[in-house]
Amino acid sequence: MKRDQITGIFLFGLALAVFLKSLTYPLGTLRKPGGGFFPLIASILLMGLAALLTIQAFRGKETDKASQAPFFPEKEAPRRILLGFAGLLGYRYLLPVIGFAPSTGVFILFLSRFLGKYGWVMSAVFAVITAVASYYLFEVWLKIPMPRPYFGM
Amino acid sequence: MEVFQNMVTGFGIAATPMNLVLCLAGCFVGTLIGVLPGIGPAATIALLLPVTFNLPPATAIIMLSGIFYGAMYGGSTTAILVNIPGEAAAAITCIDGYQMARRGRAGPALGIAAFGSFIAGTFGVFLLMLIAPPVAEAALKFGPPEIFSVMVLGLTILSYLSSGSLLKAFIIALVGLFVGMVGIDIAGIYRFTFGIPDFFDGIGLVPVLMGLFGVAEVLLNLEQIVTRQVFESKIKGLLPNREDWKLSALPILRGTFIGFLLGVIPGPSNTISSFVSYAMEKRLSKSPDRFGKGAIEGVAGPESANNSACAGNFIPVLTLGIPTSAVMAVIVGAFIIHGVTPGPLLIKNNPDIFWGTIASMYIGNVMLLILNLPLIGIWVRVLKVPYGILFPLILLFCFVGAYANNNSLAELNVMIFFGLVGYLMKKTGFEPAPLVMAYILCPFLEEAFRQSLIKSHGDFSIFVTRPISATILALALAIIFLNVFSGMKEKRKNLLQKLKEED
Repeated sequence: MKRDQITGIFLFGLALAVFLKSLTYPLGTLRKPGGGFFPLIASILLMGLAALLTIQAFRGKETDKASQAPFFPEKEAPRRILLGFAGLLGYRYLLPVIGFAPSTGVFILFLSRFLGKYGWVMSAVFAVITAVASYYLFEVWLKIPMPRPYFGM
Repeated sequence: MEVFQNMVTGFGIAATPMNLVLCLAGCFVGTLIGVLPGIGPAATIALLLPVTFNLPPATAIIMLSGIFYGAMYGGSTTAILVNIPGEAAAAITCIDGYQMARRGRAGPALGIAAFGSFIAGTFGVFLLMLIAPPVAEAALKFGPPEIFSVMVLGLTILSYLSSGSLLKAFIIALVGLFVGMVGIDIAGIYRFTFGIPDFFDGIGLVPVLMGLFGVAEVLLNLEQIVTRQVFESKIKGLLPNREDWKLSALPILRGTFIGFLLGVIPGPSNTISSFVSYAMEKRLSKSPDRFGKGAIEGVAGPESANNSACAGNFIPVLTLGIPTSAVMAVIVGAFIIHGVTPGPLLIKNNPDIFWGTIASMYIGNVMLLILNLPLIGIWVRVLKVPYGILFPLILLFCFVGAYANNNSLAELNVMIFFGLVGYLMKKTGFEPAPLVMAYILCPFLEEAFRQSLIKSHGDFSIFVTRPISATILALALAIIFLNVFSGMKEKRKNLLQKLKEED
């Protein structure tokens, strides 16, 4: 299945969901449109355009280059993307548990070791420096109230 | 002259030591982050927004303007030295700027970019100062239908100019509207919040920007291990010589006017204006074949145009309260956070902020010039920082920026989600710009739409029976129809092709 076909169908589904959802909000009248009116119009428009995209894709019409290029440019790419997301999610969920500075250190160590291709020692040094510097910059100097860790630090 | 009296007051506000220092700091940090790849001006301002939370409103706005100018300027440095535009508006500078650098003339290229930006920036602010007050006066007469039409035109222009298929640009703009609808509407109804309290006030702008422009960009870069070729040889002689000046004087002048005029129109005017300026200089040149091979006019014109467009950009923001780009949306957000509502009444109600900001723009332009000429060596070194070090730091900044906006972990989820969305969009041929603009304009657009209908008692013809609104909408329609039915399609393709080649 071509990428445009999938995107087209997905977007049509999204528009349909918004359409159905906006019916549950007060539509009001034309004289005094309610909260559901604007989303309703927008979702109808999107359903139309998404259908057009899907039909074009099924008729084999080429739309643009970006959706024709291979999804992953390199064999390594899927692994690197997954690692990148794992890092982001890991940081997000470690942050409230162990606090800002430690989780930043772990995050930087992880990225720099597995995606930056630096050795353990280099990565650790980089991680510690960044963690300490960002602690002073953001928490101490800019006074951004970071989430307090569950465990005392 | 009232304007000059006001300016004296403005300088009185902007020229306090604290404001001067913060303006300088803003310019410096703005340029620094602007030089780094992957973070454009909008994300830069969003990142640094928390820094200004504790400052008085006028000071905060002054600092943010400095950051904005700095970030715009930083983008052209990378264009000239690395052939990578730091932000979209600098894309055209790559063509001749990088060629100049390869021919050993990186110095004059950077120099003329700085001088051109300075001249155009200063002149742009001058025009802004003269034009904004009467426009604000006139804008008081703009009703909801006119405001609605202006925004529709802006979105149409933006979609027309985004690369890839026009159909996809419109589709993604509609998706952007959905994102903008999340939250409590003007009548107090909770929409699309999924019962999550963090969404009641709508989805935050900063995490969306960080996700689409920061995280997605980093992820795309991570896929491939690309080494950037920084221009190696020593940069000497930043001052353009007499010949350079002779060639550049008129392009700078023309760029200034075009940039400002286009800047007033909602849409990605910085980018458009630099392209228009380049095309015009090439057409007017006696030796057009020099373009693409290091013609200094090809740097001077576009750089001036995009800088004065920045000044023009402030007109719809300061007079109508309509943000015309992602950058301006963040600035509008900053105004609101600091308790100032941008719009027709801003100049009347907060003259200190308006005139202080104008004065600080003059000062900011001078600072950028004196800051950038001696510091180019530092920017070059920043450019040489390997990506392996850079990307963890960019992600860290995105995290802190998204979190600090509301001190909320939910915003981090939003950022990561939009990082994924942005990544998939790039893979499927959708541009982030129309989505962001539509999302930003959505509340304004819906309010204007609903109020128009209330005003007309449910009659849709209100949009086409009022002359100003009708003219603006006709323009938007013309763009769509010309694109669908005529040779415009071909022309647009060629324009985008040029854009792509230079990318």
